[in-house]
Amino acid sequence: MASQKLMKVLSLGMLSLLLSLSLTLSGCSSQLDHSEQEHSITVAMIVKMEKGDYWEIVEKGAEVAAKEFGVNLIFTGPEQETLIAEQIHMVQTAIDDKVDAIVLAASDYMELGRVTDAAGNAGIPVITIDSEVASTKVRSHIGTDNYRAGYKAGMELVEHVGDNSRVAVVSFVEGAYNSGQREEGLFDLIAQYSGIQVVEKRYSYSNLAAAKEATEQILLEYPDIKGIVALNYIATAGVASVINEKGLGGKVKVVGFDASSEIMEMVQEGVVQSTIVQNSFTMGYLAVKYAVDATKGTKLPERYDSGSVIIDAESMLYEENQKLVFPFVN
Amino acid sequence: MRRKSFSIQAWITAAFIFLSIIILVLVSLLLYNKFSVTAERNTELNTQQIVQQVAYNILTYLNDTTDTFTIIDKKINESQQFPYQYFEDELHSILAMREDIVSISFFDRSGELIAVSPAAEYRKNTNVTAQDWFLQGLNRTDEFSFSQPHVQNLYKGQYPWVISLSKGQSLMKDGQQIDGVLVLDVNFKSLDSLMERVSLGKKGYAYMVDAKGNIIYHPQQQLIYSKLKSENVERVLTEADGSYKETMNGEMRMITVQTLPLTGWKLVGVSFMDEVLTTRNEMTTFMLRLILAVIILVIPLAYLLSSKLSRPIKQLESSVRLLEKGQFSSQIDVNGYNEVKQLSHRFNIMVNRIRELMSQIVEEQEAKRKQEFEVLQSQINPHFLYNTLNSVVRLAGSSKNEEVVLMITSLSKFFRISLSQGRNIIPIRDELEHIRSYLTIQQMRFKGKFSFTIHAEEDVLSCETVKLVLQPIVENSIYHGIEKMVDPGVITVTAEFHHNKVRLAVRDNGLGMSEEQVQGLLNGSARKESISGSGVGLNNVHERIQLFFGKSYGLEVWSEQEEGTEVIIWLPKS
Repeated sequence: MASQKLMKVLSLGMLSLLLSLSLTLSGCSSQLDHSEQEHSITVAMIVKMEKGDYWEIVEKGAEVAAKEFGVNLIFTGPEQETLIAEQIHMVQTAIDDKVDAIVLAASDYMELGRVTDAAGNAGIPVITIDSEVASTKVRSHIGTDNYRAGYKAGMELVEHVGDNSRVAVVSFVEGAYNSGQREEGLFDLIAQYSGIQVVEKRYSYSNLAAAKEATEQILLEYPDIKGIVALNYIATAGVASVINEKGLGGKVKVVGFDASSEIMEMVQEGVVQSTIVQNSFTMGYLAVKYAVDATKGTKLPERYDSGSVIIDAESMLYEENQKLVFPFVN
Repeated sequence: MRRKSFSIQAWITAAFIFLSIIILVLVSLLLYNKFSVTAERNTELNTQQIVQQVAYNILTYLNDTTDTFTIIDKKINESQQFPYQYFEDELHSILAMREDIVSISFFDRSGELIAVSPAAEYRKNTNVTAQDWFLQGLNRTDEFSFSQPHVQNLYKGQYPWVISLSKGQSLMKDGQQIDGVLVLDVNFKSLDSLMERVSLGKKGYAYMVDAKGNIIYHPQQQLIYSKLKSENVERVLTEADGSYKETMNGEMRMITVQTLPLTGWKLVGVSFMDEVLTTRNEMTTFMLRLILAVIILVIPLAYLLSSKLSRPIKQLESSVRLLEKGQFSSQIDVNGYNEVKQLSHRFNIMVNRIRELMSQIVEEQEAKRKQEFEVLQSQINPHFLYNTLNSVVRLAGSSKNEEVVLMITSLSKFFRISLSQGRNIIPIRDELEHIRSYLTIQQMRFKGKFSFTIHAEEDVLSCETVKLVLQPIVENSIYHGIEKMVDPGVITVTAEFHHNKVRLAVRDNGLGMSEEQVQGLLNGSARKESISGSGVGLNNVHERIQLFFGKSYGLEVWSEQEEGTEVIIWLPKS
C-alpha cells in the first residue's frame, strides 16, 4: 500500500516535471523561432556623404526596398565626401558588425579597394552604387553609366556654346571613379570638335565654397569663357550661384549634374542650361534588392545602368521627370 | 511482463497515444482550416476598411478644398475683381486657416499672370500654357477640375508638389474684362503623407490612378517610371470597387479598389498574400509543436494509465500462474474494477471447487483401496478355509472319496476365481462359476440343508462385473436366511438382461428381514454380525459396484419376514 502511494506521488511528480519541461521546451523553441523570423537581412549602405539631396534620394529608394524585402537597413556616410579614411572605417565597422551585405558608394576608387577586399574575404557581398571601387570582390555595380553621362553633358554643352569656344570643367574629387568617367566621356566628345577648347579643369571636392571659388577663379582668368561643365551637384550649385550672382546667366552657359531645388531654380532662370539627372532613387532601391539577392546566392548582373536624363527648363515639367527631379514632396 | 511485445499494457498505451494523436490532428486540421480562412477573410476586410478610410479622408480633404475654391470663385464672380481689398481680408483668413493652400492665381488666356495671392515673385520660363490645369481651365468656365499632383514651378522659393483646382473665370482690370483661368494650388503633402502612411501588412501599400489609368500617386513612382515596377492598372479600371486577387511577378496580391467620387480617381490597396501565408506557416509550426508536446506528455500519461488499468489483470495472471504450479491453497485477492473483481471471485469459487473435487478423489481412492483390501482379505478368509478343510477331513475320514474330490475341486475353483490373477473385473461367467463352487462347498458342509439353482441367459455370461459380488450375498442368505430355518432352503441365482442393464439376483426362501435389517445391510451397520462369514458386508459390494460403474448401479434388497429375501445386483450391459 505504502509503495503504491509512493508510486503515485512519484508518477505525479514525473508528470508535472514533463509538463513543465515540454512547456519550457516549446516556449524556448518558439522564442528561437521568433528571433529566426525577425532575423532579417542587415544591409549596411555606406555612401559618400550622409547629407545632401542626392544621397537622401538614394536612401529613400533603399528604404522602399528595405520595406519590400524586410531588410534592416543601416545608412551611413561621412560628413564630407573627402573624408575617405572615415569611409574606410565605416566599411570596416560594417565588416566587424557582421552585416549580411554592404552597399558602397566609394569616395575613392583606389583607397576603398583594400577594405572592400576585406569585406569580400569575410564573406560579405559588396554591391557598389554611384561610383566603383578597385576590387574584384564587388558582386555588382549599380550606377549611372558615367562615361555616357559625361558624353551627354558634352553634347549639351556643344549645343549651347557652339563649336568654337573656350570652356572649363569643374569636377569633384580627384580619384573618384565616376568623376573620372564623366570627364573621360566629356573630353571624348569635346575632342570631336576642334573649335572647343577646355582651358581649365578644377576640383571642387564636393564642397560648395571650393566650387564657388573655383568658378570665380575661372571667370577671372578667362573672361571670354563660354561655358562651364560642372560634374556633380555641389559643383553645379556652386558654379550656378556664382554665374547668377555675377549676372552672367545665359552668357556663360552651364551644364550641370543632378537636381536640387537650387539647381532647378537656376535651370528655370536660364543660368543652368541643362543638367544631367541620375536616377538615384533607383540606385538605392536596386542596391538593396541586389544585396538581398546576393545573400541568397542569386547570380547578379555585373553592372546595371540606372540611367540618366537630360533636364532643361522645358523637360523638367514632364510628368515622367517631375518625380525624378523633385523626389520630395514638400 | 514488459518483455512481452504485446502485453495489454502496451495495447492500452498504444491505443491511448493513437487516439490522442488522431483527435489532436483532427482538431488541429479543423482549427488550421478555420484559421486560414479567417485570416484571409480578415486581411480582405482589413484592407477594405483601411482603403475605405483613406478614401474617406482624401475625399473629405478634397471636399474642403473644393468648398474653399467655390467660395473664392463666387466672390470673384460677384466682385469681378481680384485682388480686391475687402475680399483680400477674407482670403487671408481662409489662407490662415488652410496652411496647405500654396497660392491662388489668375492667368489670362495667353498664360500671363494677372494676379496672385499671397503675393509672390513670379518665375521665368513657367510654361503655363503647356500645363494641364491651364488647358483644363481654359475649356471649362462652368465647372472646376482637379489636376494630377504635379510640381508647381510658378513662384520663387521652392518647388512644391500641388494639386491644382482650375476653372475658366473672368474679372475686370483697369475697366477691361479679362478672360482667363483661376487656379487654386493646394499642397499635395497632406495627401502624400496620408497615402504614405497606409500600411497594409509589412509590405502592402496603396496607390492612386486617375480615371484614365494614369498613376497619379505611387510610393514607388520612380520605379514605375524606370520600368522596374508596374501595376496592372487596366484591371483596376475594369474592376468594380472591392477586392480581388492577382498574381504579379510570382506573388499573390490582394487588390482592393475604391473609387473616389468627385475626381474619379481610384484608390488601390495592395496587400501581399504571403504575409497571410506567413501567419499560416506560423500556425502550422505551432500546431506541429503542439502535437509533439502532447505526444511527449501523453506517452508517460498513457503508460501510467495503462499500468493502472492492467495491474489487476496482471495480478490475476500471476495468481493463475501460481495455481498452474500447483498451489491450490492460494486465494486470489484482486482489488480492481468490477469485471476483474467478478473474475477473481468466480475464479476463487472454481479453485475451491477443484480443491473439493480433488480431496473427494483422494477420499474415493482411499475407500477403493480399503475395500479392495477387504476383498483381498475375504479371498483368503481363513475361517472359511478352515471350515471347508475340516469338512474335507471329515469326508475323507468316512471314506467318501467322491465327495472329497468334488469339494477339493470346488475349493480349488473357488480360489482360482477369487484370485483371478489380481484383476478386479471378471466376466459374469466366472462370477457364476465362483458362486457355484461356493454353493457346492457350502451345500456339502450343510449336508443338503438347502438346494440351489443357477440360471443365466447366454448373452449375459460375457458381460463384466466387479468380482466377488455374489459370494457375500449368498453367504448372507445361507447364514442368516437358511441356516436357522427348519425347512429345506432354496437359493436361486439368476443372471439376465433387464431394461438394458444386467440384473443378477439371489433369492432365498429363508427367514427374511425386517425393514431395519435391510437398511442396516446396505449402510454397513450390520457388518459385525457377519463376522463369521467372509467379513465382507453387502454395503461393501454396493459401494464397489458404484465406484466402478457409477451411481445408477448397485444393490437392491427385497425382503419379507418368513418369506425370503431377494438381493438384486444391477450392472451395466457391456
